[in-house]
Amino acid sequence: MNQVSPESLFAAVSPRQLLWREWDDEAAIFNPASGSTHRAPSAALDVLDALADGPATIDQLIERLEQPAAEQARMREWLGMLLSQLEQAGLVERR
Amino acid sequence: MLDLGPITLRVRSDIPAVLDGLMRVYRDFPVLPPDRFADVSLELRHGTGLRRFARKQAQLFVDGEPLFFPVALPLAPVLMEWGMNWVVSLREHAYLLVHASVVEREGKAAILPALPGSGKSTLAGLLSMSGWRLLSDEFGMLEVSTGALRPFPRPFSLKGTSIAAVRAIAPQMETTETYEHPEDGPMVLVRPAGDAVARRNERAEPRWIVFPTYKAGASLAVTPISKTDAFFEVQDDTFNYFMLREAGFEALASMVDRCRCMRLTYGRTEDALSFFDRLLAEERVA
Repeated sequence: MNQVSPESLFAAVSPRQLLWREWDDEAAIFNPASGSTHRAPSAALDVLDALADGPATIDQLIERLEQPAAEQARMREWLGMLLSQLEQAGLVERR
Repeated sequence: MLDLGPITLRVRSDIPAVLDGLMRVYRDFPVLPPDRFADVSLELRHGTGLRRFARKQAQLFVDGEPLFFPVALPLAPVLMEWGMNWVVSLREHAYLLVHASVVEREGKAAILPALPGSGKSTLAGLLSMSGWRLLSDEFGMLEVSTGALRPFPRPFSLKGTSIAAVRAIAPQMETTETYEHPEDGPMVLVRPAGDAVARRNERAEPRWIVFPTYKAGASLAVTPISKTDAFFEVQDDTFNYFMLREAGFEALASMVDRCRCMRLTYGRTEDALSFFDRLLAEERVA
């Protein structure tokens, strides 16, 4: 897994075509591009939705997700992990 | 030619004992004129390999092509069921095919997905002899276009001590003769009880996904599970989810949306039957 740097630019792969269901704090996400179904925390849906507006760095994503300033350091670390997982699943790509 | 509901089956055999056994458990299904179109054509013939000199065997043919290795002659009806399962799993893609038993009452269906040996067929058999309708034993056929469960109430198999367990609550249970399976021991096919066959075109709404485990002597234990757990566990036990792609995802997700999901461990028949009656009673109140 590549290290996530502040400059890394992430883009959702076919975000408008994804199918999903959200139950409690988890989601099942079907990616028509790969035919695969992925299990993810439901927050991944917010991230994919934010990326549907266009590629973004982690800081730009935090802005799009309208996170309070006090949360941003923790959010940065958490988003780095989540984006790496979504990248591995083929739902997000790095540009 | 038999009308099984979702499929029309043509069966041929040059082994009279096989046809007699099958007709004992398939006799409720309407027999259609032989010139009708058949979705599946199965034929059981005497085996022709060298082993036939030591022991009589049966060979299965599907649409004229041999399928599986020959088996000992008394196991021929079971071989036919395996062949039908194989064909249905490859061809019936108007449905998401879930490896599960399904029972219904008052239009509401309980899906019992499970690995072989977990006791799902026994539980479904018990329920089908106790007021629930058997929708299917091997396949939960989830209709992609409607989200309803399509009945496929074929004779179901019971093995070992399960035969006596079901007979204890249903002495009238009708079966084929007992076959000795080399690995699984004694085995019978059971005629679907009640009006399961007559209502083979009457669909049901999925309401419960119950993963059963039989453990001798165990107290009843029910553990709710998350819908996400249920979704992925059922998905792992489908035959054609990956082929159906978007339609498969939507069908399965919609089924999970509509169901309460849980694990059930039971060690006594009466506990399990009471539990399912309680599920239904709760549904009536809701």
